[in-house]
Amino acid sequence: MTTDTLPELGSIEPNPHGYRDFTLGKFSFGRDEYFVHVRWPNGTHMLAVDAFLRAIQRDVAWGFFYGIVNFDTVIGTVNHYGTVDLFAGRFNAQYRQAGLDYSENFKTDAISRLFEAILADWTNATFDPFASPAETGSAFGPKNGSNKRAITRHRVTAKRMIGAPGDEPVRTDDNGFPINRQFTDVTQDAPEVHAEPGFEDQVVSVNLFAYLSRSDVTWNPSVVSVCKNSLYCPTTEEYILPIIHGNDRVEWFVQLSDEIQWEVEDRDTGAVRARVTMKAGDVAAMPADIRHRGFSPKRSMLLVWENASPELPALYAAGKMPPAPVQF
Amino acid sequence: MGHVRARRGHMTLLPAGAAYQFHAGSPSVILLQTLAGRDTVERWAEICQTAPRPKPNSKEVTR
Repeated sequence: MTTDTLPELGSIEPNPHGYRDFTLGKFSFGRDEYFVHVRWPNGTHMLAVDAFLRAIQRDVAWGFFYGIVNFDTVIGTVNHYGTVDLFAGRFNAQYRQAGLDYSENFKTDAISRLFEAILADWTNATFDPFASPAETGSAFGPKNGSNKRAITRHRVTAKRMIGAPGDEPVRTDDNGFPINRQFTDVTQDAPEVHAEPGFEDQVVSVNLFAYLSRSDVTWNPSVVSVCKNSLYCPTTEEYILPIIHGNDRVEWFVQLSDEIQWEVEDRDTGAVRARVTMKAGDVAAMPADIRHRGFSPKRSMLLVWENASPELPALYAAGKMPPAPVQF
Repeated sequence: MGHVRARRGHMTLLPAGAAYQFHAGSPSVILLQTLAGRDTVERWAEICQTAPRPKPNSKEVTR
């Protein structure tokens, strides 16, 4: 059953650390100087506050993404594309066996508003949930201001391709995107475009590597080109993917630079399946029945190739398509 | 409609309905973003690597 009410956006009075408490359905959320405390009818859980804020920042920014966004091995969300399940222990075999798992379904707007309110209240002035650990201050301590600019960034969703007339602009020093400290070796040259008169808005080319070298966020796939339901969503990665992504469709990864190591687990139980090391030029297909988390020792460029066809989750769930695109 | 000289890391939009041809002076790689169609040939099983499944009695074999 979907809980249709809008969230109670939190307590009026802050707790002794200066932070408000929040509730949605039968879940409640509180934070102290270091930890987030999640409570549901038959259980409680603690997460480090920096990891929690990084996770819900992405969940909100991505519109709850494709499939499952695990904040850790206990708490997370399932996107039903219109409604969202908030769960505890649902994809954790031990919690399931112990009967400690719990799940509640909410209208997408309701859970979005809750997470946005938590981000606004719990993100201190020093902390940027999208930044790499080396490029942000601390998330910890008593309430210390806010950082609205960091938590309300524009999400890039190109209609055709970045740089095309009327579409998402390319990044430059002038529009606030300097080259990242770890991509100073990336060539900034431009392609040569010679469009015949009348075709200037159709023949377009940009330097994608230069564009990515100027990203100010990490682990945030953004749509740079669209071919019907085929979406190119490159992203720059550094440190650890703040969520464990449970797939409801196949995702293709193309490692464009440097290296990422992926932990791949069974989506439903968390049982270890594989560890994949991807170096520049490597390609991998993440199956539709796994969950994965990436580790990037230095900032790297990753192309995430998404198939946004809305019928895919039902086809995989019904067993009408194999979970991996390659049959050996 | 035009022509484009693209190098490493560059990304190009080709108009819908356009005919195109690629020229490369030396071996190079391009990644085409497109959709499966009637001319698509999937050869991933010949190209991709995977780890072999361990045999049930593999411990005994290695002793």
